[in-house]
Amino acid sequence: MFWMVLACSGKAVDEPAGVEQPTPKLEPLAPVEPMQGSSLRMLLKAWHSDDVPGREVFDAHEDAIVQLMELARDDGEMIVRERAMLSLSLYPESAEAKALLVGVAEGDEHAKLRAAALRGLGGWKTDADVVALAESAKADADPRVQAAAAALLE
Amino acid sequence: MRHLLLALSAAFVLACAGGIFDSGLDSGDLGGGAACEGAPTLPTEATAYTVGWRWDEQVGGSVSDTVSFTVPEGTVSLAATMDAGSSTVAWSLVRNGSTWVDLYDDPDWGGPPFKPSLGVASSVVLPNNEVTWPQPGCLQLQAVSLDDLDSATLWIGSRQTEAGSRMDLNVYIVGDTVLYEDELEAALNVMFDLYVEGNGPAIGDVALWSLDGSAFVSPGGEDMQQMMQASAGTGDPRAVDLFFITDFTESGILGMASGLPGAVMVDGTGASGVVLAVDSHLDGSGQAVDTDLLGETIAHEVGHQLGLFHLTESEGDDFDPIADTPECPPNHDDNGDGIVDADECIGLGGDNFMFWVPGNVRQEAVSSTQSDVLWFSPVVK
Repeated sequence: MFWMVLACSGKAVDEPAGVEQPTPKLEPLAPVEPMQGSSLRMLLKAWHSDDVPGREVFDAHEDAIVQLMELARDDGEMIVRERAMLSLSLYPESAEAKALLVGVAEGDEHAKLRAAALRGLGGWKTDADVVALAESAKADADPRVQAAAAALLE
Repeated sequence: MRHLLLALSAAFVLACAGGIFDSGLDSGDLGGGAACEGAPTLPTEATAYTVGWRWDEQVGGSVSDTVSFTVPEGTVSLAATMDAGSSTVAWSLVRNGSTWVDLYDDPDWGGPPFKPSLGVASSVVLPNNEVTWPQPGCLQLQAVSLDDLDSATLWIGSRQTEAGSRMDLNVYIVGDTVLYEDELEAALNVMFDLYVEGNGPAIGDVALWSLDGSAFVSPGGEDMQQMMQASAGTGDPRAVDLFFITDFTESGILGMASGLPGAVMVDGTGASGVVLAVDSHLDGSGQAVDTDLLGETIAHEVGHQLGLFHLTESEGDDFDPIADTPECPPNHDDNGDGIVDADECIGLGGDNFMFWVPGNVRQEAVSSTQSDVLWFSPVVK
């Protein structure tokens, strides 16, 4: 439908990227269905992070904290899981939310999720165990996790 | 950024109250004044001009010379970008036939049809709705900054023919970002279908580049601007630049345009392109790219880059400046949560690709005027 033009290299540009791209490394995965019945899921998919609503909007929905925790744990889209974890920071009274976030931050999930979990723990940033977790995450190899840990310690 | 905007607004509200700018316009190095006599003809290819600036004590900021161009008959669209390197600038005056931006006399500065675009490169594109088509005659531009500037570069170009149906793309894969060609092609096909079925331009040539630098940038940060500046002199400047990074250093961001509009027709400014985070488009396990979502994000952000706004913002109280796009006011907040989502706005823009949030229906609708803004964009050839 469109022409791919492999362009010449420029001063800040290396060899054309298309030439060296390896073949896909993964087998197709079974599609993961969105969580059924979540009225919050769509709101977490706003095109811009600034438009993800706050607690007042969430709390107008039934079982908002339960929905957010399920979306954070199980949703089929990275952006939804990530934003659900960020949104859990709005519920510092929930020990279950904190436990979920600590579990992701300490686990071996994708670095993007670990970073989001650390940012979500901003709701508990004065807790000693959270501070210790952030201190250890500062040495993570991924810059997103490093940045999230630094933000948590600010 | 918002703090800066507030500060800038406050500074100029004070300036308005004092009537500092009531005496009229200054002539810049390019010649011309209110009558536009002797002003150069608006160039077709984007051309750089050095514009003088002066500090204004009463304003507490810098003000550029007012620069003037003669817009010839047959001009279809135009784009102008004030590039101040590392200083933040914003347009204070855009006048062509009518006055579209006037910081000094208009208390609604920042309202439709343009909103302030603050950044190291601030841009304006005509048209961005039904009434902002370029008018033959005088075009006058002036910009402001809170920094002490002596000069900045104005990039300006235009489209002089209605013939044209394709938008070329410069695709930059930044650092060690991984995006396979089949993923890119699948995503661009989604954008292609959305634009073409919406009577917008087709995707033409796609030039693929590998750009040195970090695969992680901060949203709107200096590193993001420097990444775009590093692309100077590479691809066709009339093509739209897409920068694929692994991710932003902050969480939860799909992608971002450089402005509404961003800098178009010129590459290598700090606002020359759309930035897309590949990892934000992964599935929930982090293993596969959702190319449908990536394509929809590209289509949405390129819409912003070319001057389109959200039809309705989340609370239903702010709308785009386009007359033929539906509005979804707060009385459609059926579940009473304080916002109007896409499903609540079916038939009122919820199925439009520039709605603020996706819904349970595919957002493929493009209004007639939105398609005109895309079709007649100065980047289309």
